[in-house]
Amino acid sequence: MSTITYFSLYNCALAGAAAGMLSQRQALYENGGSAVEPADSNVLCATSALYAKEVDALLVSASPAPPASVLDMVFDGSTVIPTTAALASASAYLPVVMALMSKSIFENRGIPTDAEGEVYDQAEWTASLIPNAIVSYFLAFSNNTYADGGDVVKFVPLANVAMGAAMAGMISGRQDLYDGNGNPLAQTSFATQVATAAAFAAEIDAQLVAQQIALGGGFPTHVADMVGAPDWSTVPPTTNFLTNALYTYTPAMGCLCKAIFDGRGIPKDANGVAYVQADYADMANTVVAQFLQYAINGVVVT
Amino acid sequence: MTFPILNNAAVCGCLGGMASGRQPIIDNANELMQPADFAPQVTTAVTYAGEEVIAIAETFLALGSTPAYLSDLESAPGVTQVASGGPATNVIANGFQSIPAALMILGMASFDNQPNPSDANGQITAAFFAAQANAVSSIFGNMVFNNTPDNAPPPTLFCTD
Repeated sequence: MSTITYFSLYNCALAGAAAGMLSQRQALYENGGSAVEPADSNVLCATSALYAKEVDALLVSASPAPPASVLDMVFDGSTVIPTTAALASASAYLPVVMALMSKSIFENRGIPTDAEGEVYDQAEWTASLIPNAIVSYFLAFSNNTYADGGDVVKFVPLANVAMGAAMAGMISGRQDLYDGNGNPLAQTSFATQVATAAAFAAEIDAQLVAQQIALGGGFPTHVADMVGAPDWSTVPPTTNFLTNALYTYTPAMGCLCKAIFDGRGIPKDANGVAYVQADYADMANTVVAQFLQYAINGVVVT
Repeated sequence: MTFPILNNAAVCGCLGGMASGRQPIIDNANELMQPADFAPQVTTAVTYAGEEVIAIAETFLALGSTPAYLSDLESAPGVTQVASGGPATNVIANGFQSIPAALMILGMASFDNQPNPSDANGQITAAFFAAQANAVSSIFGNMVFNNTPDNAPPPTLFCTD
């Protein structure tokens, strides 16, 4: 019986943490000059797994409980097969956002160690407040995502991953672990990030819709097929093409959106006000251009 | 097994890493970026991804087997499994949610701060990416391989369900 509840979120927290710890410092060879092997990353992976375990425990104990999109990912000790629009969408963007946020918070930190220079044990991970910061951030995001099948955004999984990835990029390598009053971070600590990231995501979606109209038949078929008529609901991945597309394009949009926010913090206008949707036109244009080049020429959808 | 979805994940991770923290939002002519402006980066990423998929296969060959958690993401060589309906299982659903994202994020980290990777002659070849692809696949292998019941210990890292 696994002690983990949110399986894919745990897996992606683990991978994201390991990625953040080795960001820009990945060794390609052992000290002896040989190519690295899986066992060379035992310490990195083991400590990342403890971080992910703490993230999972915090999600389980969160009060109020996580939103339905998170809760519905698992049932009776198993990952739920995504048979509905909402499940399909959430299954694609929530794990990716967890990976991206986890990567961000470890950038510039490397592998955290205690005063004795040893990697954290479980209790030290709890005390570090790093998992708390990410779970608070993740819940702030997941409680404010765009609904599937609504009329606010059309490409729901792509818009939601854009929102979460933007939030991840805003904290890249710079996230404090306490709020301005010296208290551990809570969901409410991130209202500005949520609002401005949602505006960015709306602009990403608007530009995708505009490109779909402008390109006509030149718009990537499998991106279009991710959402269906008549209400733009996410299409459950019942074919190999739909499966490949859902779990390929969603992480792609996520990593591109995180990348464009890396090093920018919370973008603000000349008056120091966080960007609104119109302010994001140029950034969104770049992401959508890069995404379309990837979707048209960089993937194998079979 | 040719891992089309892993290929795609490797491409996007490479693109994200190359763009990390330095992404321009206008081109050299001071105009908004167009998809074609990113053709060189996509070509580089596709080259890396081809090497990454080979490195993953070699990593699991060296480890002794490819766990079903990974191999079941294909229904046939080069054909992606379905995540919903048909033969889909809870474990397969978990795999699609976890494995491409993991490879994407590891690849992204590997390319952070490398906006224009190329060899000493300015060439972008598969061979140039061999060591980098191996490094990513080694960590990826550490996370994914240990989850098969037949291979404990070492302890499980990824949860298959």
